[in-house]
Amino acid sequence: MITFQTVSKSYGGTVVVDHVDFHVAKGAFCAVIGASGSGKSTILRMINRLVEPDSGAILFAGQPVGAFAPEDLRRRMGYVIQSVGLFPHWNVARNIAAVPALLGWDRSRIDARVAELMALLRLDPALATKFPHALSGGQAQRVGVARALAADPELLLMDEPFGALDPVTRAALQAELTRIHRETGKTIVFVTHDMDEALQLATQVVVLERGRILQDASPHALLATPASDIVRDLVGREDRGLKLLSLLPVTARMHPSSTPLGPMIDSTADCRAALSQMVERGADHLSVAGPLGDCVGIVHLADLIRT
Amino acid sequence: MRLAAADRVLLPLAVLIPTFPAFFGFVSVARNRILSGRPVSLWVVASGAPLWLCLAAGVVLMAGVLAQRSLWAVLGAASLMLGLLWMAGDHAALTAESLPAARVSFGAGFWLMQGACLLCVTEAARRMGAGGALLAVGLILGGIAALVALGRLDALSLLREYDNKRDIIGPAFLRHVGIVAASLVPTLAIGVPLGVACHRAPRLASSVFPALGLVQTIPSIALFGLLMAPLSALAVWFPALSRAGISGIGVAPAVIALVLYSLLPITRNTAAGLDGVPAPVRDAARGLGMTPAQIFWRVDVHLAFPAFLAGLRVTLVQAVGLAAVAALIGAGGLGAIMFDGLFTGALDLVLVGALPVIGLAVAVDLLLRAAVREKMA
Repeated sequence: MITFQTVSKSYGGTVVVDHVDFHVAKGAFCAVIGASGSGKSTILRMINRLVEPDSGAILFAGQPVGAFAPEDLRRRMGYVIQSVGLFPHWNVARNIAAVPALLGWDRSRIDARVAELMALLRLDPALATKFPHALSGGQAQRVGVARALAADPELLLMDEPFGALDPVTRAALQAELTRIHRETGKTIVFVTHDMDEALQLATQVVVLERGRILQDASPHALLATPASDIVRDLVGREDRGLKLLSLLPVTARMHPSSTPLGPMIDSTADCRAALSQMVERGADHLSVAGPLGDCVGIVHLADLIRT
Repeated sequence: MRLAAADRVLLPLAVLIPTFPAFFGFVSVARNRILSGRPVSLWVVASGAPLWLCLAAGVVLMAGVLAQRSLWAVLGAASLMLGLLWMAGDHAALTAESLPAARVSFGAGFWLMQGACLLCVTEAARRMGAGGALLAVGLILGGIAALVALGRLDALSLLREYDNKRDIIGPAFLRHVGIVAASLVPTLAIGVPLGVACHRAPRLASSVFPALGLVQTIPSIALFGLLMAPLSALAVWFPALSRAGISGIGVAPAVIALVLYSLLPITRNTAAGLDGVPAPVRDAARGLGMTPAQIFWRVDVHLAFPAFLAGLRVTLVQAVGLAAVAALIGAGGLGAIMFDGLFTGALDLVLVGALPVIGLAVAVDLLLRAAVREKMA
């Protein structure tokens, strides 16, 4: 879907993106992570031509992005930013309809699409006629994501979309985004400085430092085999094992069984939660409860630490 | 008894009102239009129905202040204003019976009492909220209109001056509005694009704003004077211009001067409105695929509009006032009536010209304030 070929960019002699090469496959959820000044936002903004690279090529759907008119390119990519940037003089429905209106969709199609997106983002339909100043931070960013998805773009670009939200709202929107990615299969490029967020959401993590890629790998590979000490530090030196466990659903390590043995844990939990519960309850095994509350398997402490 | 904060404003004002007539004449009576008047005390003037209205109004006002009822205070103070006006009118009528040529004008005591009452009304109305202002304006304007319609004020010098000028005041008003409107067209045509340019090129702004600010520091009479020479010269060199009515005196220099004064608020507020469009909103607009023209027309214009309206308000109020001065260079309008009164020593004639100017400025101000609030909401 997106390919960077030796892309560089500098501002006034300062190199912010330095010979970057990476590829994002169709349907992937790619997190680009780094500290501020690592060039992560610049990389994102080069994809939709808000920033032009000094050298190298960026391919979108097999063609260099420079071959598209910038406006046409951007209308094929959703764009979400940390400060949301809703249009304050338009109500929620009109904000969501911004790109379809630019594309000249007819009224009934726009209305149907707005209703569909408000349902997808779990926005109360009564909010459709509200103006942005009346929304909470979480609601505003839900509208921001809905607006980005409105014209059914092939690619979703997100620049620290949840960075300004409180932890509870952020967790809810992270879960929402995971669900939307699963349901729509959209390719997502997601810029963040929060490693836990990247590991939790992404299928591919690109770690940047001072404009260079330190590692480009799956979350599991990043945790299991960090390419350098810097990456090891970034993903967390001490609790790397716990983070690895958090990537695994508990069902991946259980033995099927219908006879309960020990405390129950929900089958949607991850292995880290299972370990935590064993420590808390002083048990070395748990019963896994299925969707109906019945026992579907047993997980032992030994199953969790097996590699 | 401890005074609430509210009383610290209204109580001293209400107590102050009856002290003015002890020191200042209520009306001034002249034997004819040319002689200067002698002050006549309120105690001489007070009588009949208006006296009872004033006393009742005073009691309601005082009760409203002491009981902290803003509605009573508004009703009392507004009625007192009308009662005092009526009293002056009745005294004028009485004077005219014995001395038909005599002129009765408002005295210092009248103005001070009316001013204190007006302060009471505005303060109490402010506490009542939006409805209070409407009630106060309706009460005062309606009352004045009723007094005029019933002929209770006809004998006052102000009304007699108005009667003399009845035929020219309408055209003068239209001329005044016309001068302001004529200056608005070039102001918008130059100021708005200039404001957009200043927003896009901050270096341009750093030279345009000081230049326009410098114009504002030139006194209006001086600017009118400065324009007379070059415009007269132009009219001599290009006879077509003078045939089109452009010369050193008259409407042309007035409109040009008003445009020069009006450019700063319009240009500065247009630029400030555009500067105030939040950067994330522009970033999102670009990122969603709006063209620069779409960003300007669909986003910038709307978000900059309240600031632009605020600039328009300043411009228009300022232009209404400056257009009065333009009468000095023969532009006509309400200013001509004011200067006529000033030069003949007929102060009531000055009022005849000034009151519509004040009314026009206040009306424009209120209208555009409401429009700005509407846009902001």
